[in-house]
Amino acid sequence: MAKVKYLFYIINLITAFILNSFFVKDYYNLHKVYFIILYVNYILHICINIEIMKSILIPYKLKIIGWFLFLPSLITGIILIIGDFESPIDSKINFFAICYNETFGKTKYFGITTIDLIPNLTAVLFLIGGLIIIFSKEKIEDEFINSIRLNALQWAVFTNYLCLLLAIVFVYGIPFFNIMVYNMFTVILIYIPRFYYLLWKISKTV
Amino acid sequence: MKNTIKIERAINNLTQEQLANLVHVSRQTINAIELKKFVPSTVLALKIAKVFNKPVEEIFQLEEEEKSYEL
Repeated sequence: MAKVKYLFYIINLITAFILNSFFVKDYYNLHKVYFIILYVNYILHICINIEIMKSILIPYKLKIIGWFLFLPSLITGIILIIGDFESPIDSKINFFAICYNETFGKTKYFGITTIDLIPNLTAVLFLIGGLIIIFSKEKIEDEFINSIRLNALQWAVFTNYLCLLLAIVFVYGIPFFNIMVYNMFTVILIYIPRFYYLLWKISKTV
Repeated sequence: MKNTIKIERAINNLTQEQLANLVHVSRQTINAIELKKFVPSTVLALKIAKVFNKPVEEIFQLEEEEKSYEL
């Protein structure tokens, strides 16, 4: 029964994602209504079936993989930010896309488009590594570790949306979109130092 | 909430690490409880009391201001 729930949850997520990328630009109102219904359905699923989310943490052994993905992509990311997102070597390749557009052209669906490999790969590895670090257990997982995990997550989400709020009110135009790019990664960038700071602070024996 | 874990550990000659292993938690958790940074769950409190062979009330007590909550 639990497996069916998982399957339904994943199908729901994929449908919502595809519909989102389909109808975000084209103004077919009926499809938008359909998307909103599916989205509400998806949210309700997360809320009602919260007991299946309890075991979201993955084993401690995978944490080392997370660090190996996270740290190199963090360094590459910083180099890319300094160089204004221009990759130091030419890495343009053709890749499959669900939704894309040519420069200032019409939105197209399901085709091949040219992408810059290095920035995209960096972001993907950063997110995968960060998610593994956040959602893997500690060596000994207990209620105190859970409480500092919650604290770190609360601060990360709060700071993320506070930055977004300030950016919406005070920043306009192209700089706003630059802030949005950093904003995609702030939850991970605040959670990890905060969690390990709290753990380190309590590790010191008096 | 105050507790006498540090004293009980000294009586029983246990380190934080050893007590943590006995109740299956991390050393940081025992340290946090001793420093009053963390209030353990009832299950963990009962486990710790069992290690020291004493009732829970002898190890964990309410602070004075916590006793005066109006019901």
